[in-house]
Amino acid sequence: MKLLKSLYRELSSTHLTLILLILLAACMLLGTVFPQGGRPDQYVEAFGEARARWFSRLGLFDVFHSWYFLFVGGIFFVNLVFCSVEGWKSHRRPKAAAFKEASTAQWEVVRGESDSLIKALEDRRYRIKKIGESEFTSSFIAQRGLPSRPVSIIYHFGLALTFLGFVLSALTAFDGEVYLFPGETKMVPQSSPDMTINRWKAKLGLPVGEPDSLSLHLESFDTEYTWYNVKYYPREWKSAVTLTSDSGTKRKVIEVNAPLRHRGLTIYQMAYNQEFDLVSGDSIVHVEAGAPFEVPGIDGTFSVRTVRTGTLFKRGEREALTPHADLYFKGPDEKKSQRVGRLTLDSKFYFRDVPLTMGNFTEATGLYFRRDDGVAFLYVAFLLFMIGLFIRIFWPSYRISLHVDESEERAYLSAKVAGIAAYQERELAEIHERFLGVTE
Amino acid sequence: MHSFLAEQSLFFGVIFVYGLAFLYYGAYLLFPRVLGKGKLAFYVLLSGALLHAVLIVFRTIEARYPPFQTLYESLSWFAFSVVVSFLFVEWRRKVHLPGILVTGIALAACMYALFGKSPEIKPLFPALQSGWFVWHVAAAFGSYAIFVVAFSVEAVFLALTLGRAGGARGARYGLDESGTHVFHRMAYNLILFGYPLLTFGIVSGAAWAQEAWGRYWGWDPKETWSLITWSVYALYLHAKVTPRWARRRASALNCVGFICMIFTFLGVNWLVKLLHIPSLHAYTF
Repeated sequence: MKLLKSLYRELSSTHLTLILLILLAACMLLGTVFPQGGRPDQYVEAFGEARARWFSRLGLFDVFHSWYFLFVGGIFFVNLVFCSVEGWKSHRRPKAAAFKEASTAQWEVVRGESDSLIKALEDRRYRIKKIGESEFTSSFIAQRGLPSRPVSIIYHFGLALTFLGFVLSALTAFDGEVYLFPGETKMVPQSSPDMTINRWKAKLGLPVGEPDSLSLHLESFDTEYTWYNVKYYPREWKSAVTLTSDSGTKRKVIEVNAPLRHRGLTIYQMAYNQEFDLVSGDSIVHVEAGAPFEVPGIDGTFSVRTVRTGTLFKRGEREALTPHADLYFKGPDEKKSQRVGRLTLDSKFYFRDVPLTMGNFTEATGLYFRRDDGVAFLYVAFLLFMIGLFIRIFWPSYRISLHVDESEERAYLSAKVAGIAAYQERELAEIHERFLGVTE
Repeated sequence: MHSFLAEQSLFFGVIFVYGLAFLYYGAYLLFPRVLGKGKLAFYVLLSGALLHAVLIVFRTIEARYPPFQTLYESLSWFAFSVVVSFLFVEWRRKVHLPGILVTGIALAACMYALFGKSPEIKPLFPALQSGWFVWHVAAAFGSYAIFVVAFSVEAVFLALTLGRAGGARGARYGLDESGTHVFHRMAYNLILFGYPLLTFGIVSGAAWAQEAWGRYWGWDPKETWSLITWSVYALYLHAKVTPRWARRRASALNCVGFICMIFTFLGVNWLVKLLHIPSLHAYTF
C-alpha cells in the first residue's frame, strides 16, 4: 500500500511532467534526424550494414512506433490523468495554508473589523467560503473569476482525450487508393481486415465481418491550370463521381480540400495517372507520364513529366487544352535529361528525323479513401483543450486565502492569481483601499 | 516588371529603416542617457513597420492572397509580425533594451528574403486554397513573433542578472532589482500569450491536413519540429510553477524554445535537404 501511494505520488507530480516532456521532445528529435519508414536497402546504403542493423534494433527508423516512445507517451497520459485528479482534490478540499509564513500581505485588523474585510472582498465581487473558525481566528477562501484549477483540469482533460483519440485512430483507421478512368466504376471497401482492431479480433478467434463496399463511378476528371508569367500552374483537380450505397446515390465533384464524406469514409483527390501510345514508324511504345521509356532505333531514354490537358484559365478566359507534353531525352553518355521538344496529341514530332506521334491518351484520377473513427473524438478533445487554455490564460482569476487573527489584530492574506490580465499587487492594493474605506 | 522593381525598392527602404532602428537601439544600449531613453529608436522602428505594412498590402493586392506562400513572403511577414509585436510591448511597458535583438532578428529575416530568395509571385497551389490557410499561418506566425520578443526580453533579463556585476548593469538603465525582474515576468506573460496561438497553429494545421490529404498527422519533419517547440514551451510553462525550475532553468528553456521555433521555421528546410527526407511542408522556393 505504501509502495502504491509512493508510486501514485510520483506519477502525479509536475516534476515527472517535466522529465516526460524532455523525453518526448528527445524522441521526436531522433525521429527527424533519422529518416522514418524507409526501405531497409536505403538505410544500408546510407549508414552501412552494421550501423543500419544497430539503428534498426534501437527502433531509430520507426521512432514513433517504437516501444520507448509509446511507453513515454503512455506514462505521460497517466501523469496527465493523475495530475488532474490531484488538482481536483485540492480544489475540492482547500487546505488552510501556513498563513503567517506564506502570506503575501499582512494587514492590521482591529477587533470586530473582520466583517469589514469580508465586505471589502464581496464589493470586489469575490465569492467567500469559510473554511475554519476558532474563538479568535477565522479562515476564508475568496475567489474571483473562474477558479484556475478546474479550468486547468479542462485543458489537461482535453489533452488526455487527444491521446485516446490517437489510440482510437490507431485501432480503427484504414486507407487505400483507387484509380478510375472516366466512365469506370470500382468498389471501395468501408472497412478492412487490415484494421488493427480486426487483426486483434482475428487473433482472438472472434468473427470479423465481411466489409461492405460502395460503388464509385467516375463521370469526368478535369485538371484546371492558370497561365501566369508564361507558365502553367495547377489550379484545381476535379473528379466528378457518383457514389452508390444501400442508402442511395450521392454525386459530388471531389477537389483538393473538398473531399467526399459518406458514413465515416472520406474520399480525397490525391493524384492522377496519364498514359498514351507513342507511334514511331511501325512500332508503338506505351508511355506512362513520369516513367522513362525507349523508342526502337534511338539509343537513349525518353521521358515526359506531365501531359497538360483539361482547362486553361488565361487572362480571364477559359479554353480547352489539347493534350501536350514536353519531351525529355537523355543520351547514353549524358548525365541529365534535356528538353527536346513538345509532343501534341495526334501531331507528328520529329526527333533526329524519326517521326513520333502521341495517340490514345487516357487519364485516370487517383482517389485516396480513409476511414478514421478517432478524428471526431480528436476535434472534441482539441476544442476542450483550446477552450480551457484560452480561459486559463486570458481570463483573470484571483484566489485569496484569508486568515484573520483577532487576538493579534492582524489579517494574513495569501494571494494566487492566474491569467495574463491578473495583477496581484494591484488587486491587493485595491482590496486594502476598499477595506480602509469600509472601516472609515 | 515595373511593380517588381517598385517592390524591391520599397523592401530596400524597409531594410534601411530597420537598420537605422537597429543602430539607434545599439546606441541606446551603449549610451542610455544620451538618446532620449530609447524613444527615438521606437519611432524609427515604427516608421519602418509602417513602410513594411505598405509593402505587404501592395503585395497582397497584386498576388490576391495573403503573402504567406513562398519563403520570401514568409520571411517578410515574420519580420513584420516580430516588429509589430515588439512595438506593442515597447509602447505598453516602456522597455527599449530588447529592441537591439528584435530589430537584429527582423533585419536578418528581411535581408535573407531580399538577397537569398526569389520575390516571384506564384498563384496559390490547390492544397493552399483552403479557409484554413490564413488562420493556420496567421496563428503560427503570431506565436513566432511573440516568442521572438519573449526570447529578447529574457535575454535582456539574463544579461542584466548573470554574474556578479549583474545589479550594476541594471543600474545603468535606471533599473533596480525588481526592475530587472520585470523582464523575467514579462517573458513569462509573453509566452503565456503566444502558447495558445502556437497550439491553435498546430491544431488548425492538423485539421487542414485532414481536409486536404486525409491525415491529420504524418510525423513530417515540420510537424514534428512544431510539436517539439510546443513541448519545450509546455516544459517552460510547467517549469514556471515548479519552485526549483522557475528562475534560471525556465530562462534557459525559453532560449531553447526560441531555437526550436527558428529551427521549425527555417532549419527544417535545411534538414530535409541535407538528409533527403520527404516533407510536404518544406518551402521549395
